[in-house]
Amino acid sequence: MNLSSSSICLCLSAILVCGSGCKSVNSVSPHERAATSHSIAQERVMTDPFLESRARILGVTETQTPEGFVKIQVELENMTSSTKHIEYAFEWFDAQGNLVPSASGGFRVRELLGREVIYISAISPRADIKDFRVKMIRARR
Amino acid sequence: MLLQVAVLTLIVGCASRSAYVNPQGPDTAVNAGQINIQDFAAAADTFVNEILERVSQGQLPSSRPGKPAIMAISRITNKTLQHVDIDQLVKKIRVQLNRSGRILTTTTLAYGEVEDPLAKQTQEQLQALGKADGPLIADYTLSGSILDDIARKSRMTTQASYIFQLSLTDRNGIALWESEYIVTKQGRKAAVTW
Repeated sequence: MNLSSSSICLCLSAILVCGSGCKSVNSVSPHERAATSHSIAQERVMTDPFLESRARILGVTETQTPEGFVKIQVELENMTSSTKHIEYAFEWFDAQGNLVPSASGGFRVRELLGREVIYISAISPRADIKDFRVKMIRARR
Repeated sequence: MLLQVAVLTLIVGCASRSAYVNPQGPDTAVNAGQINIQDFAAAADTFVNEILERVSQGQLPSSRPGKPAIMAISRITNKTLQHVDIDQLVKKIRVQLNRSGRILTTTTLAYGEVEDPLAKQTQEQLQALGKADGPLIADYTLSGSILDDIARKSRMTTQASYIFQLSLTDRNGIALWESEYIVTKQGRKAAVTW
């Protein structure tokens, strides 16, 4: 009887903890997407498997504007049911592979609710940009 | 042996804890009670992305065909209770736009005091000698404000929101681009988190 009470208490605590700590996102979208995105092949270098298992990159799309600027959009999913924070930064390279300096292109914090799919995007700082790299880390602040 | 340990402890204890960190990296300090360097950078980054997107779609054309558009800095008001140097935001935007080669900023035309009085004087002298074009007229002017909103979440936790609002107005007085960026931070007042 005593053991049973403890079990019930433990279960209730677990439900309470999950109920208060897990805020996952329910979403709805059209079954057939009208927008067509141009997904590109990626070369991924993963040094943090913990981050990779929690924030998964679903796809990267690249579009070129009429004036020649490159717009990149990364689709990211929080694989957990709890809120996570990541930091990301874009790096841009010209035709010779030189890193193009960016005045404000540092790491930016982004919050992902449980199971949420988000998009992080950026437009190239110049029209002659040929390559890019997106860096992601677990938020430390 | 005990003396050696004591000396070693003293040396380690007295070592400087200061260190260089990348101002664009993830190790910068975060204060809930003030606008940090990364907040200005994130706001500027957002605004530049939006402006360049408009430029790339041909929505912010130059009055001089084949040449970059000219932007002048108008009034950007600090409506927070903090001392904020507006240049921490504006300069980042200017540098990024300058590097894009599509929008340049004039330093001889401004709301109030011009940024470079000597350049303005030179411009006036050249005009007086008939060696320069007429007075510079900017294609766009940048104006806006920075606001804050402080709220108490609990007895110990304070939430601070800093709101950056900017507009880009053309010669006809129409705001062709407007945007707002809000950064919200929670923490103990004046506390630093890492």
